Order: sequence, then C-alpha cells, then structure tokens
Amino acid sequence: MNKKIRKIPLPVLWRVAAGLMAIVVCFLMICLFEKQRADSLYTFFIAPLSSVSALTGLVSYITPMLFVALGCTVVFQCRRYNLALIASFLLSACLVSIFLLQGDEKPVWYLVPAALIIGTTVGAVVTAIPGLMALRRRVNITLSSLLLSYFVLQLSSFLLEHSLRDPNAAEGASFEIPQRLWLPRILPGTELRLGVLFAAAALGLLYLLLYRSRIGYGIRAVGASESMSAYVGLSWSGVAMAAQLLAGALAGFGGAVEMMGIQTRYVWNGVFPSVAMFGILAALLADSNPLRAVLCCLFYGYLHQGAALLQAQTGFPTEVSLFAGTVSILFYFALCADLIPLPINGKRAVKSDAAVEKTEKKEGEVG
Amino acid sequence: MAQLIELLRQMGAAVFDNGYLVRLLAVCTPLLLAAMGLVIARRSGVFFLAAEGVMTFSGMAAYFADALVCRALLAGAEQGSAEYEQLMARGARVGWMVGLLVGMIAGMLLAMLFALFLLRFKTDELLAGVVFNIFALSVSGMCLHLFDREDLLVSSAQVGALPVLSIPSLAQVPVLGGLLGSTGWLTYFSLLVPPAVFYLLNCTDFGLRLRAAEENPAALIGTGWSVQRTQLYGMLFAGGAVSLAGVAIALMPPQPVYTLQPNGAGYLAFAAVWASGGGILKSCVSVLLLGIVDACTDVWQGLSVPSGLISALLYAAALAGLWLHAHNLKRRGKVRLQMQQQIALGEEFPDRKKRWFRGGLRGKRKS
Repeated sequence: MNKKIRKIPLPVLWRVAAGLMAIVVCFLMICLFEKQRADSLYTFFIAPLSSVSALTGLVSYITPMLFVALGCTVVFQCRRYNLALIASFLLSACLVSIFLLQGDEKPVWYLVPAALIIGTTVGAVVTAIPGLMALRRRVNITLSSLLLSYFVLQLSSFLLEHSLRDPNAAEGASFEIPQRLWLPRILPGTELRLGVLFAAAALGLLYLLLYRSRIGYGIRAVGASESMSAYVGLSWSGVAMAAQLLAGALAGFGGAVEMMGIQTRYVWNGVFPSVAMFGILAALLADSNPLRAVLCCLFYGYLHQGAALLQAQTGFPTEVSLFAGTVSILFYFALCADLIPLPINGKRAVKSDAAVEKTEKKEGEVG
Repeated sequence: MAQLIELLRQMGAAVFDNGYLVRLLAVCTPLLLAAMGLVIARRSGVFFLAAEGVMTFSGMAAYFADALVCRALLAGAEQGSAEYEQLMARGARVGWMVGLLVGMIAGMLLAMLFALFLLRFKTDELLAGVVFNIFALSVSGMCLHLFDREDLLVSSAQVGALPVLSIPSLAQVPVLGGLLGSTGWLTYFSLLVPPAVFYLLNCTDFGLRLRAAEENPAALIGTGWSVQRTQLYGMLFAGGAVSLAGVAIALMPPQPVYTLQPNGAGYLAFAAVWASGGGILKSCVSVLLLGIVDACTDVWQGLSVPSGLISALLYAAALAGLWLHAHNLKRRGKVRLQMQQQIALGEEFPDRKKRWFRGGLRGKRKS
C-alpha cells in the first residue's frame, strides 16, 4: 500500500492533503458551533451526494464557477494576474439580467443567444481595461483589476437599485427572470441545463487551445518568460492581451449562464459573488490546469452545497465553505514550499534531498 | 434646469457644511494609517497586497471583541432599566479598549502570517495577497452570522465606539468647534503617524536597513544583515499601522456599523501609495484627494444624486491616479533616454535649467 502511495506524484498528494484540510476545517467548525452535531454533519457532508437531484444540483452550481476557473487558468498560465474576472462575471450577470427583464416580449430565439453574446462581450471588455493599462502604462495589473472590481461592484449595485430591484423581494434582489428565458434542460427532471454542455465544450476547446495550438504555446511561453518569447519572435503583448480577452469572455459567459436558470434573480447587492471567488481558488488549487480545475470546482461546489443545505436547516453561515477553501489553498502553498512534509512523503523528501546533495558533490568533484 | 441648479446648490451646501469636514477627517483617518503602513512595506520591498485582508480581519476582531464585552456586561440586565443604561455606559467605556487591543493583535498576527508565506515559503506575493483577502472576507462573514444568526449583511450587536476627543474651551469657536467636538482621538493620532514614519525611515539605522532591503539588498547582506529578517520587522510596523486602520473603520464614532459589504479601503490606500511612488508627503496628498471624494459620497447620500455612481467614482479616481502616475513615469523615462542618447553621441550635456525649461513645469514658471 505504502509503495503504491509513493508512486503517486507529490503535487497530487499535496492537493489531496489540501482537500482533506478543508474537510477537517469544516468538521471542526460544525463540531464547535453546532448543537445537533450528528445531524449537521450528515447535512453538510452526506446530503449533497445523497440523491440524483442533489448531484445534478451540484453540477449545475459549479457550471458558472467552472467558466471563471477556466478564465483564471488562462491568465494564470500567462502570468497576468488579472482578477477583473470577478468584475466581468458580475457586470455580465447584471447586464444580462437587465436585457432579459426588459426584453421579455421579444422571442426566445433572439433573447437567449443575444444575452449570451452580451455577457461574453461585456466580460471581455471589462478584462481588457486593466490589461490595456498594464500594456500601455505598466500599471500593476492585479491592483488595477481589483480596483476595477470594486468600481463594477458599485456600478452593478446602482443598476440593481435603479433598473432591476423588485420591491417585494427581500435583501435587494431583482425581479425574477422568466422561466421561458432560462437555458433548456438537457435531462428532464434534473437541474442540468444547456450551460453544462457549454462548460464541457469550453473545457475541451480550452484544453486543445492551451496544449495543442500555437496560441496556447504562446500563452504558456509568455508566462514562462517574456524575454524568451520575444527572442523567439512572439508578440508577447498581443498574446497577453489575447489571453486576457479570452479569460474575460469565459467569465462573462459564466455570468450569463448563471442568470439563465441557475440563479432566478440577480442578488449581489454590494457583495462579491462567492462563485467567482471559488473559481479563483479552484484555478489556484489546480495549478492553472483546466482539467484539474474541473475536479477542484466539484470539490469546492460540494463544500458550498453542503454549507447551503446546513444554512437552510440551522442558519449556519455558508461562508464556512469559503473559509475552508482559503485555508486549503494556504495549506497547499505551504506544502508546495516543501516546508511542511507529509508523513507519507517525508522519507522520500529526505531521500531526494540526499540525492541532490550527492549529485552536487559529484559535480563539485568533477569541476 | 431649475431642478439641476437646485441640486447643484444642495450639493455645494453639503460640501461647505461643517459636517463635511468631520466626515473628511473620519474617512481620511483609516486611509492615512493604512497608507503609512503600506509606505513602510513598499520601502522595504514588500508588495503588501494583503493589507485589505488585514484591515478586514483586524476590524472584525475589534468589533466582535467589543461586542462580546458589551454582551457579557449586559447579560441579565433588563432593557430600558437604569441598570441597563449604567452597564451600557460601562460597556462603551471598556469595550473599545478590548476591541482595540484584540484588533491590533489579530491584524498583526495575520500580517505576520502573510510575511511567513511571502518570505519563508516564497509564495507569489500577488496570489498570496488575494487568498489572504478572500480568507479575511470569509472569516468576517462567518463571525457576523455566528454572533447573531439572524443578521444578514449588517451586524445588530451593541458596541462601544472609539471615544471622541472634545475640547470644551474650543467648542464655541464657529467652524472648529463642531469639528473638534465630534472627532475621535485616533484622528489626531493618525496626524502624528506620517512624521513618525518619516523619522523611522530617514533618521534611524533601522530605516536605512529597511530602505536597503528594497534598493540594494546586496549591500545589506554585505554588511551582515538578513534581508528577510529586516523585511519581517518592517512588516511588523506595516501590519500594526494597517491593523489600526481596520480598527478605526470598525469602531468609528459616533455609532459603529459593521457590514459585510466590502469598501476596499486597503486597495484605495494601496493605490494612493503606488500612485505617489512610495513618498510620504505625496501619499498623504493622495489620501486627502481620495478622502475628499469619499466624503462627498457620504454627504450627498440624502440628495437625489445616484449614490452608487458617486461611490464608484472613488475607485475610478484611484484608477486614474495609478494611470497618471504611470504616465508620468513613462515621460520621465523618455527624458532620461534622450539624455543618455545625447551623452552617447557626444553632444553637449543638457544642464539642469535647460532641461526644466524644455520639458518641465518649473522652467515654464521661471520663464
């Protein structure tokens, strides 16, 4: 058994350890703050996987998160930490809601594709702003994108107050988006909608783009070294802008999908959507790999669904899932630094260090 | 037209009111404290993006420590009775002290944890900063709901605010009287912080080492000092100042309000420092400019002006500041390049006066 575990690559073990850490954190928080522990633990950990409808609900919930995570993988691979993806998601969701609510009388065949196009375009435009600021004036892209996210948060709250707000809805939510404008179901009787297929297609295309195409090679080359990519004749500025536009378009598309059947109302009045934050965390835990990002999204979606069910039952805060997610990422960072050795790989780490020392000695002798 | 003129008149009256100055001092206090912490971090070569998270975390710790003290004191007392009022007054006297202490300790611990990831684990500073900020947001949301599960976005806990420094002899002065009677002591303390930071950075050996950690790490190592340790001590000061800023927001007099809606004060202070190139005086001026816009958003709340849009203006102003600073840097770079070209071609070295006359404002003024 131990030999089999040793064959697993270390990064995989670190990710599993980070996931276990998140589960332990949730377990401890529930044990500390809930009175009916057994029931709460069952609701949190078992209920999200207990039925087909719960499972399809989980897959449906992670669909927009996956779009944000895929966008993050592109910009992180290009080493442009453009976090305006949150703003892209938010503004896209807001504008799509306005478009769908105000054009309710028009036909579905026009409204649904137009809403998706609007979401994608808005997302790309929003992400392009910090990208251009960095390209033209070398403004720090992370700082400018975060400030832009706050700008968009205020703007979308203003739009919600003035164009969308339902006076009868609690917590400042918008009017309900009519059911005929939701994306069609792909399996009757479940929550799985066309957005899941879009996400799967985006995943496949992005994987091919990143690992089997020239532009993907360019994105990874610019992320690895700008000077090297310029030396081999790549236009690093063009590649970086293309990556950011693509990421923004993906996040914007996710925002549009979110408002077409997953969220029935626009609800983010002055707060950032947790689904976008989970998307960023998933991309970080997946180390910017699109395929691994799916598994990470599923894991964080599972934690969030458990927290949402528990909140409906006892009022326990859903933020516990985000808290556990960030703790898992910090634990993963620490493991990557190789400073917290796992008990399983401790011997291997010592062995590899010894091997490194040996080779260094040999090189020294030859030199 | 008449309505617009009336609205403009009301806006002007709100700005020239005594309350505007009080509000300006109140919003500038946390921004100034955070900016000074960020100046120390920047001059020691640390990109302290987690400042927003540290502010959120310290503010949350201060508020709920204060609330716990008040709740413990008020336990068993009947609301509305004389005993209740007496205990409430005692809670207000004691609570803020406990809040201040707990907030400072919590914020500095988080700053040290960030420094551990940055300096020891060598985690990417941008990614670590973003994860720490999400971590602080999730913890504050969790604490709000765990303290009272019926609270949604705003806490309903009773807390004692930071005391107001009233000077009775000056209370009768026409303009300053109202200002001096309703401003917290932390505001006056924050005015002392920039000179203290200037002294620390420019007049002490420690300040010299801090600046060397950014500007010339090889020289620091050559004189036997550790760069990482120096940066860690710098982060201790920076964390302290930023934590105090978080406490100032959370326990702001006269009545503290704790909300989950993020205000991004840490990012605004960050933008102020970065747009000023890390200079103390310029950072103070930037903070004042941001404070002027921020105070306008507050005093115009009651008017028929879209408050969401005006709040968004604050972040747009910060983005514009970053853009202008980068533009200025680029122009300076061009002038330097021209000078280097002239020197390389053996042309006459342009003297200082001539240079200012050709490109700078000072030359135009002289002429």
